[in-house]
Amino acid sequence: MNQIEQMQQHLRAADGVPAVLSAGWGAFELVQAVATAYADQSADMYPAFTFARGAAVSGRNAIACAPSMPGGYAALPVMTPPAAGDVYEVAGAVAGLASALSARLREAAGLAADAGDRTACEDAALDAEQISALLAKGT
Amino acid sequence: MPSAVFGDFCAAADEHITAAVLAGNAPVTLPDPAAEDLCRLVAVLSRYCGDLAPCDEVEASGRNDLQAWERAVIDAGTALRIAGDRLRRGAAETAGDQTGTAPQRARHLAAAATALRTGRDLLHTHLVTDPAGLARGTSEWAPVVTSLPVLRALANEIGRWSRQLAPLAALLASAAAQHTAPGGQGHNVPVTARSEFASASGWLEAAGAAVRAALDIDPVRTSDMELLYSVPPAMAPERRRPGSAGGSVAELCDGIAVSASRLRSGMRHSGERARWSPAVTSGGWQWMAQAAAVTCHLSELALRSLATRASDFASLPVSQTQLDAAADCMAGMRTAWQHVDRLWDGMITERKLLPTSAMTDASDLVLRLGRLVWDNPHWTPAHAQRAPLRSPPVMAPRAADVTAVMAAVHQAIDALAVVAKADGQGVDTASAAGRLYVPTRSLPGEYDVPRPFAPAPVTQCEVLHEAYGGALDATLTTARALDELAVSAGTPSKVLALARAAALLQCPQPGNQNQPGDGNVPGRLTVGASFRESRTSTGRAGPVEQTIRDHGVSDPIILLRAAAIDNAAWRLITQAENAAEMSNPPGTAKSERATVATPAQLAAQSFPHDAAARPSDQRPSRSARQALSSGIHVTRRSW
Repeated sequence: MNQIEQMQQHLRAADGVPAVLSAGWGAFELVQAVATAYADQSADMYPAFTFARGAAVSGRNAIACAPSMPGGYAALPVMTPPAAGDVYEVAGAVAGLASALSARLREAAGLAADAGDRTACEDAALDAEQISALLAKGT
Repeated sequence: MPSAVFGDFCAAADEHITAAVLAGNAPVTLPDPAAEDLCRLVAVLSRYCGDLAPCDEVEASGRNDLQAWERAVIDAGTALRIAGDRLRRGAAETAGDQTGTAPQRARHLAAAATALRTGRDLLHTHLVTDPAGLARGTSEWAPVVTSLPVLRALANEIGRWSRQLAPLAALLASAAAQHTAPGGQGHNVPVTARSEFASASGWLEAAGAAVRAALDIDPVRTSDMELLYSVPPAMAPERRRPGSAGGSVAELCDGIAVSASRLRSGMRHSGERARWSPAVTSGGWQWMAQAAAVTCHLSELALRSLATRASDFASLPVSQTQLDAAADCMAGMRTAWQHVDRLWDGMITERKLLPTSAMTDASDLVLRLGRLVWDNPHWTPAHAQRAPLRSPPVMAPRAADVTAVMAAVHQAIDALAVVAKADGQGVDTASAAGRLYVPTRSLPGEYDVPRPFAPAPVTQCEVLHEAYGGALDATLTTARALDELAVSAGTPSKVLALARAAALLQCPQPGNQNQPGDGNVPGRLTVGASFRESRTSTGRAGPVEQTIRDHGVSDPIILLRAAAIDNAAWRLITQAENAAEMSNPPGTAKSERATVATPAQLAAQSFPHDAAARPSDQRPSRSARQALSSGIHVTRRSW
């Protein structure tokens, strides 16, 4: 959960299109890692985490296409083994992260001067929204 | 409305031929249109034989390697061609001005010819002939259409109809003897018309006799007929959108069968498209692998639920153990698909995901299975729609519901076998065409690639290829376990089991590319299969099935029963070994363990063809390796 909160802070602090893209890459990677780790923790959440993983990979790949995406190796987030019973909370937290990510990517799309950046941000924002829709607790 | 199957046309033709024969008391007055209609009907039957024959009669006369049914269709085809020729000549000689409505008999014969022509067209939808004259399958039913069981069943029907039609030709001969030529000159028609019809009658009898000879050697099984009658056209049924209000268990099961059928159909040619089509993307492949994993998960839950319900119905021919064993296979299959899914994390194509019709159908399949398993008619994979499991008595209140749910799961898994094969081929094609990339940002720091993506390394493509192979093996193993259940319980999906078994028995028709071993047909064991081999454990024929095959038995039901015995033996031996392991902790002396393992060894040795001293270092198949490794360790960053 700490990692998710840290990532949200990182996203909030990102300034400018390249920084949002870089933070977005990390956020998608984190979602992917969390979804992989938690998918098998609860039978009823398996489908949601599995499809959320796919959306995270898709969003990350969309960002990779952005011309302003900074180069260089991105470290893989280290996941701690999940504690039993936290699955639903974690899903909710990831949904929150994805929602924040989507908002930042939309902002970045609005700011981007390059059409390639705009498209990449909009595509990735759609993936983030899908993650949020899959993992949010609902009303 | 379910689409027509070959049996519908066969039944219609049968009805009309019987009606035409039963109209035998009606007088024949030449010119009778029945002569021409009979001629057309016989021509259609002759074309069926031409489709089935491995070679023509000239080549056949010099061959001694033809099986009884191959010889039968060649001989019957020759006889029918001659009969048709005689009928045509007889009809031409007795032709005259015909006005008004054709007599009832002629109408029945014409209707039978139309039904059989349409049925033949239906069979031909599964095959196309390429410019080189080779017949290529266009659907997953193609190997069934060219199989021995279908040949037997169809040839048998042709023989039966030929025998039924012979008296009609004789009746025409008798009418010709009394016929007065048009114009009322008092001249009888030439004697040749009578002899042509009489000869046609004899040749029709000969066609029937040719088939009867094969029947004596290799009888037609009920399952052959069932299979023939079940052949559908190579077209997808219309999509049924999952309703927002869920639906009853029966509706969900029907919907799953439709979605599975559409999914199978949607996967056709996707492998070829992978070279160029922008609609074929890494996102699509990954999504499909995820949908497959989720389908396995939901199917496993459904089978576990049915397993707890099985003991409540004494009449149910499948046991809790069998259902649990199938659910265990499902778990292994999910692991294999997850492996594929995770490999896609690091590979992409040049295009972002574009939804395809196959994805829509796979999505419908997941939704329906989810609504079957979870107690929420509005279920979707989203967290917000999660619900408790549907209780077993609610999912299957009656024994018939158990078999209906089993059939639905069978349909879903069978469709995934098609997906595994098609996507595996597609990925190979895309890899060969250089369409697979990795994000350079995901490469280690020493790689300095000034572009966002780089071509995927060959080793990574090979790993993906292997993963698809593993998913196909695991899916086929599960499908075979469900085949057994379907045949035992007589579910509507039983035909999938018969089709899979029949596809192993190919006829050497000219240009037939559907040979055993092609695609998803498991390989044959050589000599002395061990009880370690079974369709469930390694995906290969076990000792009982192999022995049955070695005796030349091709009855799909017998082969499925043999496979079931092998699977049961393997499970028993594994169970015995596990029990032995538990009673012998790691510190136990080797000699002591050997004594405890004796019952399993005895069981294995009791089979006459089993090499009891088979060395234990025999390399397991890919699926066995997969099944044995309890969890495939996947490093996400394998690049």
